[in-house]
Amino acid sequence: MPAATGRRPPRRHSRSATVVDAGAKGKGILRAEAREEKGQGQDHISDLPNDVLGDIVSRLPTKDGARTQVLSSRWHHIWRSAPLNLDLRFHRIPLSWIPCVLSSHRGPARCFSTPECQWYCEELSYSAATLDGLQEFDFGYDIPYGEWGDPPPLPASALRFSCTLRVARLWLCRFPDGIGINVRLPVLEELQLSHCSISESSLHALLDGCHALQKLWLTYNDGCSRVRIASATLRSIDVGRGLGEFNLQQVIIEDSPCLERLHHDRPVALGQPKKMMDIKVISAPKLGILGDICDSFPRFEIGATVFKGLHVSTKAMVVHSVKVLSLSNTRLSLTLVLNFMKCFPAFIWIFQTLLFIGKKNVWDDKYCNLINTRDICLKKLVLTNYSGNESHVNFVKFFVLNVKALETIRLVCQFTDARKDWIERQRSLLQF
Amino acid sequence: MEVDKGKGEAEETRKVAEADRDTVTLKSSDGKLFEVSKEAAARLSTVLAGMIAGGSIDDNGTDLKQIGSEALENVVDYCNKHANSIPSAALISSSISFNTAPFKEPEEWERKFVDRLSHDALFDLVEAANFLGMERLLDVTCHKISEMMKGKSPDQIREVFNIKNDYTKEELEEIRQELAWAFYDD
Repeated sequence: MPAATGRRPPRRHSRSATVVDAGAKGKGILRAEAREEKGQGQDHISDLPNDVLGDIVSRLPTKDGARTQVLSSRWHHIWRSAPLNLDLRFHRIPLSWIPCVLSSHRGPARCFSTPECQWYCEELSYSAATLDGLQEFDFGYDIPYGEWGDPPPLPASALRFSCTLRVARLWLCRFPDGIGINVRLPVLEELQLSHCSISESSLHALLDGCHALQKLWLTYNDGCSRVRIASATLRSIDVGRGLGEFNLQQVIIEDSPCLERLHHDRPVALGQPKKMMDIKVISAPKLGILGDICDSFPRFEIGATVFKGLHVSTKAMVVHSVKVLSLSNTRLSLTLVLNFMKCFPAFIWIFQTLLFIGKKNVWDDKYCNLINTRDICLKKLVLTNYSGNESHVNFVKFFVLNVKALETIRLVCQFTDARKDWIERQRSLLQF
Repeated sequence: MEVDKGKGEAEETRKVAEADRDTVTLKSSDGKLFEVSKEAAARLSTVLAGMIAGGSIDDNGTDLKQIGSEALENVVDYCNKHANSIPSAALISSSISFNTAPFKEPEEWERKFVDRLSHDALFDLVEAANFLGMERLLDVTCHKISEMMKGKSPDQIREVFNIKNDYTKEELEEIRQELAWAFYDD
């Protein structure tokens, strides 16, 4: 900052400060005074600026949003001037009414979301001028579970929105081969592909066309066994392996200077794939949130450090950027965790799905020598599925007694009838 | 412009000290002072970010004459909570599930944060968020208001928000006819 700036009288030269001064006698104060006079019963909502009201209205289901026009004359133009939210997944509108919706709102549309049939999408909605300038597109076929393996193709007309889309969520549809080639998605910030069928070349072509992508979900897709991601803008990645024959088995994250979060999703209701995927992070200097690392990972690499499952196979460096780390394991042992902690001195650790089968996690002072406990800067510990058995108690007690930096421990129990005396007993066992 | 050298240096020294602080002090319309994490303020509010970058933050309390102390307290509370919020929830549950609504959903603590507000406080907070260019807080508060409207009839909405219907019977009927599709199940 040049010295001259420091000499400036505060507030006079700053544009934003001027805004503050200009608004000094604004509505907030006037309204507060009015409220004092009239007490309760003020119409605060109609006082909000048009764009805020528009924001509220376009969050409503399509029908609710349109109906706000009858509230009062203040509301008459709000719905029409705000982007149309055509979310038909949760609040369905009979198909025969859709042309009326599109003719009463001239657009642009913020969101178009539908589970409906191809006819609906191709013949009708895609051609409507209302959908010009679409920012959010949420599309998937409503097909029975038995057909999930071979979903119908994404209508080619969907590409019409590529220039204006900020968010695209596509699920249960097939990308015809070559669909991603030459597609440009200049402003797309969020892309989700779930239960889609897409080839490796189409996926890479699609990602190459994204120049502003910040969040990416690639979960439970089929047709692509490997993905390489290199992006100057991406901040968050979620990946999850599908159940199909050609599911995602390897994720390679190359140069991603902005990546802050990498999350590995496990399928919950659909059964567990036998193997997790290989994940290799080559360069992500800002990676701060990492999880779920499972014992069933065949190989997980970050920089030159390599893990097989939760076992440190090659320890080449300590990953200081990671501040929050989540671990899922059925047989989590203290030794394993302490070895892991040497690689990730994260501030916050989250352990999920703890069962501790067959391990008692008994420890003595030799454990404290395994890792210099003063070096553990752990501040917060979260354990889900805590049941208070001997193994759990020993595990938690180690951190309570040996980690000085620890500020909070959160234990999440699965059972709902945790009685007071049980909690008290746990407190004393854990020496809180 | 003549600048008193001594004074300039003093201001500069203060400015350096200010730059080193990790909080900024904000002053409400009724003169109450609030401290807020500088990092969070700059990250969450475009207006405060502009003021911090432009050096127009007053060490003795930057005047925000538009915002009353109750609303400013909530703004500051939100910023500080955001600064300290543990992204664990983000890690575990933010992965957009198969059936998520198309808007960015507030996190659990944000939901609780707005749920505890009174009707008046909620609207004061929306205005403050709008004024300070706090996109995320505006998202959270607008989400809350839309939740209060969802699934309600126009009459119920008017009652909740004290909206006075100023249409004539004929005008109302005309709009309803135009929007027959939105009233088909009434």
